[in-house]
Amino acid sequence: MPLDYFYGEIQKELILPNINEVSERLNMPFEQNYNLTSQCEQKLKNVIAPKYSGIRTDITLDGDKIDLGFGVFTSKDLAKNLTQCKEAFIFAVTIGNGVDRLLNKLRITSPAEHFITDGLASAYAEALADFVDKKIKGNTPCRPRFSVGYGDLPLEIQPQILESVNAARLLNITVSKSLLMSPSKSITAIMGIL
Amino acid sequence: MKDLRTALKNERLYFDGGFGTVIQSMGLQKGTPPEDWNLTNPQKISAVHKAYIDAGSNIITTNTFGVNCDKYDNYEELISSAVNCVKAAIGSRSDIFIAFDIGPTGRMLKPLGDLDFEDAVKIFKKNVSAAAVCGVDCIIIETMSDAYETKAAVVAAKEASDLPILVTNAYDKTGKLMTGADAKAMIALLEGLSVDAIGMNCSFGPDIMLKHIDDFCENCSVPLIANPNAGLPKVENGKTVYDITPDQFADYMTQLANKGVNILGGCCGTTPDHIRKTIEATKNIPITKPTEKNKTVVSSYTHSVEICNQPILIGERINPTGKSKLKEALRTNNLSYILNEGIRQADSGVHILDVNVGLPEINEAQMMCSVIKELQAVTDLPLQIDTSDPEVLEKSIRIYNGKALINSVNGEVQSMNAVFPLVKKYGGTVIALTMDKNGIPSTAEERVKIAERIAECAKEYGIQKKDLIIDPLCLTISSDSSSALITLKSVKLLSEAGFKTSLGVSNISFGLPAREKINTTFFAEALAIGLNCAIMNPFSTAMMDVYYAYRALHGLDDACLDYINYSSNVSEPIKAAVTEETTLSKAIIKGLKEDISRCISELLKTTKPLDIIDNHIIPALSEVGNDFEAKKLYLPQLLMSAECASSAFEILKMHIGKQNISNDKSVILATVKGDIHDIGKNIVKVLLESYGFLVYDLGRDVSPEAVLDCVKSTGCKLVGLSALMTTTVPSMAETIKLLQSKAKDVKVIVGGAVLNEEYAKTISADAYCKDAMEAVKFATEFYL
Repeated sequence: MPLDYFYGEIQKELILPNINEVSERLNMPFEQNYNLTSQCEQKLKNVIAPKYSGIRTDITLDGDKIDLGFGVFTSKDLAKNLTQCKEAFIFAVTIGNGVDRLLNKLRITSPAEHFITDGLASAYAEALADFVDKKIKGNTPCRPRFSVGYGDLPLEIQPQILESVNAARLLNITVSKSLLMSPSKSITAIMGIL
Repeated sequence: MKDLRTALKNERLYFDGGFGTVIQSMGLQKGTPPEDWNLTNPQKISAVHKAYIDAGSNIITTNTFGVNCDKYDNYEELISSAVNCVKAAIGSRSDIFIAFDIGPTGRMLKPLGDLDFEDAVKIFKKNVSAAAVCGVDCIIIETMSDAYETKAAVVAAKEASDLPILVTNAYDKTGKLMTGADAKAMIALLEGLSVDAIGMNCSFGPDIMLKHIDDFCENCSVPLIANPNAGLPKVENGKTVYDITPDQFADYMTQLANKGVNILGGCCGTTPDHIRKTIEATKNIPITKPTEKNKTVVSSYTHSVEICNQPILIGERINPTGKSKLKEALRTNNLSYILNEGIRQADSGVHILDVNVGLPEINEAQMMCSVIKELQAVTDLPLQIDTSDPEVLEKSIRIYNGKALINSVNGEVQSMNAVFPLVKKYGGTVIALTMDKNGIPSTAEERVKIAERIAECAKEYGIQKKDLIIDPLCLTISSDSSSALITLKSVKLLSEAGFKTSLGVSNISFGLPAREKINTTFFAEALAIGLNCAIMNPFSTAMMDVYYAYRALHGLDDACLDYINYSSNVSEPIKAAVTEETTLSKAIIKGLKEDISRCISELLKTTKPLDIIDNHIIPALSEVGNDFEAKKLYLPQLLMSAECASSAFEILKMHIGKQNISNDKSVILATVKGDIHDIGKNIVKVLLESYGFLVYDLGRDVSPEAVLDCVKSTGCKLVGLSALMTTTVPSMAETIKLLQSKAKDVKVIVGGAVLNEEYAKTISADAYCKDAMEAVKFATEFYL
């Protein structure tokens, strides 16, 4: 059951994307700097709304079977990551659907800007996850965070993860039939507590 | 039993409080949906209802928040058992209303998600039909954070029953829904749909609701509801509690009642104690009878536009009359062109966009719905649905996300009987033309009389004068020199009679030379005499000059700030000479989109269009492509160059005879069903277009049947499919299978991060392309 709850809105100025992440997403070395990239980043920053919600919860491990509080599922890779953990942080972050609307517009007006902004937005979402990761755990030693889609952790548990952190009501994150989150630049993560 | 609609207007009523949080404290396991207990523990459910009834609630909501046919095959059973649980708690009392609770589906509607509007309506309709036969007293649509899903639920409720409809949405701390709608936009939408009460629920607590309640009180003409949370959860002594106590809650609710909220209750974290204390504190506060706010308003999914003191500009560019490029775009289903016109107008400062896609050779209803959906994905301006076909109007007003402006109705009985029922059902503000079966009257007084007859007829349909905007019509002065004076007098008389007015301003100069001079002078005079809305060309600097100057002169622009800002942004066209350095090739290689038009103009003085393509554009693209493969430049620049080349092609097309434009090099592109990733596909599209291919882009989440339909309708023999998720690759296989059985001569290339050569073979694709350049190479070779 939840041992603690977290919710917050983060000032966008505090979210600083990792340069390597950006260059990987944009398929170019980080020393390349087109004017257009800077312009796209400015437009993106105008619309991002970083938020997070999470819980600290007790967990049960039985071989590859894991119970994070919403029913048992199997994942060898997550079980390995959570070895010897009795509790975990579960959290979700999003930079909001203003980003999706901007991307919808750019899809029509400029494929180049769309590509660049999409890559930047993914980097910002990762940066937000990094920020929240540090904020939630503080000085508590934790395993590296683990997300749905890593290793053999199935996409199918995404709805339950979101439900456990009340993401629908607090962050307005929904899941499509093919298990894609909306807003699209959202991330969920599990962090075992040592 | 009392009539709820009467009670809503005349009494203070109390909803119940939190349900999920209460039954969790009664032993509901985490992860078990609350609705399960309707079947497995109905006595406990009834006990919660009884606790709220004992606390004083007189509207009890059914335990069906998460129930719908999308999630449960046995939704009817769950609904009927939920209603029975409430009835068991009510017993023989006749003063308690049963509210059938409809919560969000849990899925996002398109374009941000994958749920189609009509599918959402079907889901909600099944719920309402199931509840209506069980004997509920009303429907409560709650906790939705999307205006579009809310509309789907209300439309479903209206079509499936005659029950009163109450709607509360979940607003965030800034007073907006997740998809951006503010209170005014939601009030415009919901009052247009004739719901019986409107308000807020859930969110972050009553303190947040208090901050935003004034917007509701100032704009809403129906009773108000507030059902807040008891704050946010926290853990105390190993238990989850909410941070607002019953006494604190009651204090906030007292403030809400004093502000004018007549219907009070609670949401997550509230308990019978919270409700009891609230009732004790508020039962003697006199109710605030809802008053008609009389505002003429239209809205989009984010905001409303009120037609009042400020002149409203309606962009007229999405209208095929006199526009060959737009006609071509409609005929070839080139939505990108149409959407770009919309975006450009939105960026120019108009308040509303007119959408007219009437062309005899196309399916107007289908096109109007497509354009509206796509436009609302890229701009948040309210739209004016401009059609004379009632079938087109019905289909488009139904799917419009907001309260639309409708152009138009006129004084003929047939027109009013066709348009007004649709406006009553779906909401809307209507432009009413002052003409009837006798034509357009020659005097202002007679035009006003037609306006009054239209208003009388609208009233019979339950549509108020505030939802009519009268267009007294501009006839060109080239055929009647008194027509401007008659129109201006009509505007004056209509304003004095309490009507709002609109004009298609540029009609006044049809047939004359130097039209802009007449248009701008007429526009200024019409504004001065009280014109509220102008349908006009926002790309005319002269017209926009008049708009900003008028506002500054008439005290509608504080400290002339808008005028100053506008004036400093309007600059002379850039006259920089095309130097030897700024060649077309260089512009393409460097991705300098703003130089393309100028470079082409210069080259056309000395070079034929086809030679420009062969000797300048194609070599520039080849250089860019080679540098990309040699990793001397990267994908962003490749795309910028490709955009420039596409832009150059578009300009040159106008100079090339139709016989020289070949449409047989075409490719159909689609991201497969279930997948909404399209970056890779869009890169392929841009590159293909830059190399002169005609691309039919079907977009994202495309069914196999839609791909086949496009193959059949276009005759295209090359299809490119993209998928980014392992869960959607089977859709790719399905699409290929269908094409192979029904269109054997079509070749299919595939791409996407989860694919490889081997997998492409197993799903019988003709080729796997690892990147966009490979796709271009394949297509080029295919058509050799």
